[in-house]
Amino acid sequence: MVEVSELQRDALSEIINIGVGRAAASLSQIVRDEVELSAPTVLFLEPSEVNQALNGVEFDELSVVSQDFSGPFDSRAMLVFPEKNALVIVGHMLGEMVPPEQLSEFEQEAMCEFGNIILNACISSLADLFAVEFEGSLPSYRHADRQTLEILETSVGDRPVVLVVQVDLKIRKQELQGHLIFMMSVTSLSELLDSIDHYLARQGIV
Amino acid sequence: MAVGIDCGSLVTDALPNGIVVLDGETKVLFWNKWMERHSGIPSDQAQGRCLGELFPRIAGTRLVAAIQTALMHRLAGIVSPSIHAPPLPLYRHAEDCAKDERLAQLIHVVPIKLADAKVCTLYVQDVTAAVLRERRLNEQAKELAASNAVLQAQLDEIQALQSKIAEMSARDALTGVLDREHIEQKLEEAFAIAAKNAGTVAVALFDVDLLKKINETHGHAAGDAILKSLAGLLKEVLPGNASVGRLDEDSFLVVMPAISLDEVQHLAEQVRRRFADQQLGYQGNLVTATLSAGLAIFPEHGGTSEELMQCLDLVMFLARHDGYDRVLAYGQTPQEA
Repeated sequence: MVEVSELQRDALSEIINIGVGRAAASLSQIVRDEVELSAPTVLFLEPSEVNQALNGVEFDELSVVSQDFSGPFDSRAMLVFPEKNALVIVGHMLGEMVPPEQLSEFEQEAMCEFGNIILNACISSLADLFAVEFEGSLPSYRHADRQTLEILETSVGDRPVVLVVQVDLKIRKQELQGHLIFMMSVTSLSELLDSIDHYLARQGIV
Repeated sequence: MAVGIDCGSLVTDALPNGIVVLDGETKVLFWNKWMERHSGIPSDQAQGRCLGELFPRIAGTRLVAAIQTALMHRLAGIVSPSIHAPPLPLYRHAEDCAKDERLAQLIHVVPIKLADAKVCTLYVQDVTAAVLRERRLNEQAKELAASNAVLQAQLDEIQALQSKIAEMSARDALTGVLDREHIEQKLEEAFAIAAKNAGTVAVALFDVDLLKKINETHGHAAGDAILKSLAGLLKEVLPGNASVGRLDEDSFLVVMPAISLDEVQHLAEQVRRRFADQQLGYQGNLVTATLSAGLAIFPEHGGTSEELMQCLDLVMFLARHDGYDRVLAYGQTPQEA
């Protein structure tokens, strides 16, 4: 595993927080009320450690929005929320509470857009601050559980590094937790760390 | 296929979706037939003009933000129909335009690489039918929930009636107090609770003196009226947690949890006095009656309900022997009372 310094991790955390801050502004417009988003923790893990990191959150039924990004480094990015949190989020976005059954097609699209806004905001803030360019695919939605999430990890054998970011969301006094997950190869991780180092150097920190 | 035919635009014109290509300044580079049909703007008029100029009301919408992200950062986006009003003035039919009834839109905004130029494509899908279907399903689900609530309320009402019927069937038909079976059940329940919580249970037996003689002299209807008035008096004088039941033709058993013997004696004496004082007018005659009452308390006088009932039998015998119209607790002699 590539070593990640405390400084690199803090810098990345700052950059992601700028991204989620932008996303919060867009989401507030949609919900027509203040939406607060913060990303308090950033962890670099091996795929086998991800499930454990997500433990503690009720993570049996998951709502997953994923997008692929390519650029100086490539990553599959996912926004993962426990399904019942996703229902609450969609309910706030639609302006009425969704019954706790399976998400219908439109509610899935609404969740997709929610994920799209957050993921794009994070990647664009990385692009802006690193002064680089990425390309991002359309988001896709799926329902998953612990098992299928594991399968997803093992199917990306060339992406053995997982960046897990806890996301705390606050809509209309309701607090909801989810995670941003970036899967990347060791090569992409080195590129990411290089980009962070360049950024720090430009800021005169290193 | 003949050389020189633009295969791409033939295909995009045949598609049942809107396709728009925008350059870095959001000027229209391409506008397919579907867009012409549903916006009313021909392709040659759309080309070269900014999207915001063609549709001034899109300023500040999520669609504009998604286009900016696609152009500036090359990140694809989705604008879903359920959380936004339809952003583009596109109509299914000409008459919808007059009413400004826009078709429901699902829009994908995808950046494309065209040499070094920043370009993006909008794919617009008409999802009106699906949105209507969804809305109808939601309404049906709500109606279903509402009729379920009505059914549930009816079910609750039926259950309430059933428990009322069960309660009524546990009652003595003449006096309305519990019947023998249910007062004995109350006695067992009170014992179980008192034994568990180290509490007390007092039992009292109220016998109408010489009921047989009253029946013979004044008729059974007069005896019945006397029994009813005693039942009423017991309910009036005794505390709310007391259970009153008819044990026999002429006797009532009362079970009182969490009470002292002194208190029970005081209450029973009150019942005895008021019962003796009342005069029932019956078919032109004034009928009076007296009662004898026996009292016993758990755990002082016995450890089981059977033992207490035996105490009561003994006390009642003493009271009758002493000449009726008495309240006697177990262990007391008639003189002491």
